[in-house]
Amino acid sequence: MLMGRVAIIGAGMTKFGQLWNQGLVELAVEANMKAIEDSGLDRKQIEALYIGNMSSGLFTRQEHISSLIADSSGLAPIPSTRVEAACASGAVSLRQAYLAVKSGMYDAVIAAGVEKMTDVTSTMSTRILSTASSQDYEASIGATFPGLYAMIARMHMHRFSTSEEQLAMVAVKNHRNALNNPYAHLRKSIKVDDVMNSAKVADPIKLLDCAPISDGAAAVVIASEELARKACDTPVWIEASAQASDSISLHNREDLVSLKASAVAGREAFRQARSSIRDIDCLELHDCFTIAEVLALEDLGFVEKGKGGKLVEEGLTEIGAKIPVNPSGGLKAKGHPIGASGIAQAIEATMQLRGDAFNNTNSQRILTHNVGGSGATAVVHIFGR
Amino acid sequence: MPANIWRRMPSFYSLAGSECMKCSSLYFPASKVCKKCGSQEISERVFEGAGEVVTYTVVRQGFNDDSENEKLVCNSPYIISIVKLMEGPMVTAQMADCEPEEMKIGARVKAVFRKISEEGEEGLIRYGYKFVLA
Repeated sequence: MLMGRVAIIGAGMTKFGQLWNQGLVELAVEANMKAIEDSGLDRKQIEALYIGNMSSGLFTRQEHISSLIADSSGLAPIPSTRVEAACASGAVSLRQAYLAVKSGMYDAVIAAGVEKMTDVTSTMSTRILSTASSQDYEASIGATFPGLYAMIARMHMHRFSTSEEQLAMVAVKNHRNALNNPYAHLRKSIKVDDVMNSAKVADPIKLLDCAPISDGAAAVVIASEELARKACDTPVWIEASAQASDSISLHNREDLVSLKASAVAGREAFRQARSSIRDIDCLELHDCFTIAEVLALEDLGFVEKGKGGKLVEEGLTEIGAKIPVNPSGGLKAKGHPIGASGIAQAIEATMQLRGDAFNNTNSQRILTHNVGGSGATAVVHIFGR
Repeated sequence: MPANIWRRMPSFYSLAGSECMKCSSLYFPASKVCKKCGSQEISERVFEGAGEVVTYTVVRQGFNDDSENEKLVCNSPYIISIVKLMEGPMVTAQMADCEPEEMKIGARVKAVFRKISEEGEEGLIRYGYKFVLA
């Protein structure tokens, strides 16, 4: 493509957690304002807004949040678009914003994401999250979301002798990484035994294998190359933005131990960035459940299929090791306000590449990976400085 | 959701899926377009219901407590399995008359007709397939 490059020039997020005193709109506005301030732009320079959000209607009974958030952020009358792709809503929002700037239509837009999840009971939020799977053929017969990932985990353990302890190590690492992150929901050190002894959710998945139910919002300002160079000393370049789809139901996939959409999006991202796994220094992976981080490592090609658990056990995904994974704490410990997660990953990448991350990895190039549902949507971005 | 259930009665009651008339690919649930060859020449194909367990889980925390309308007839814990039907397609289903200790990957199972959920005491009852060990 002949179009210029596209960069992130500003980033802002709320704390993730159970934020009783903040509603959906306040969260989104806070993230937007912080991102604009960080970019150094005047708010009048923002030309469009994209908002990733999975289910404001079911969580808070509020739809039409695109304009509501634009107006509340003082950004009306610019166009505002809500983007929904279940848990990948954030990264798809980022991708839509990227495409809008890449096309030459705009010089500066915001890609944001928000979810307000804790105004309903946890049982209700489990039900709402299950709308990301087939209502007729999965959720309505009692297959919860943890249940679907549990069936993937059991298959992975059966085929490759992956152990529950190896999965627990993903949680232990991500909790440790979150200790330094003031925005994280769960800043609490845990041990493998804590995970193994936590309440069973859907065998073999236990409570501490699961990302928490969080409130939160995140936003980034995306700019054209010309504007980015003028406005910012440390633009973070979006070198690839790739997305793929697969069947919404697990049972309609050929292979249950691999998310094909992740593999396809990963290959396309490496093609766009003209790079390979060897060029990537650090990963922010979609770890809604510990098994998901293992799958992602394999599906993106960082380790052979079936060897993901071993990679984690050998400590090769720790900060300072071969390929640091989720230095932010990941969805698992930083928190997982569904629509915000994909944007928060991009913010972690931005901070890592600027050198102001809470756990600095001295990275030149970072890959982020966001999944919707049990793998029906996957989005991979590559960022460089 | 009476119309929603009524529309899907064939698939819920008798595992009716589809077969592509061009390339013979089989689908459950039925697919209007063949995902492999793109053909729209599709006919109904009812699967026999025999199959084997590909993977399974014991759901310990379900979502019954809050559900105002539709309520599964069995409370957690319950077993959910992905079954590979003899004819090829896979289906997600609850296991019936079976304890977690009896489950294993590769176990032979067959479909049975059971009550799935009900909308309160006077509301609609949804029936459909569950699987039992064969």
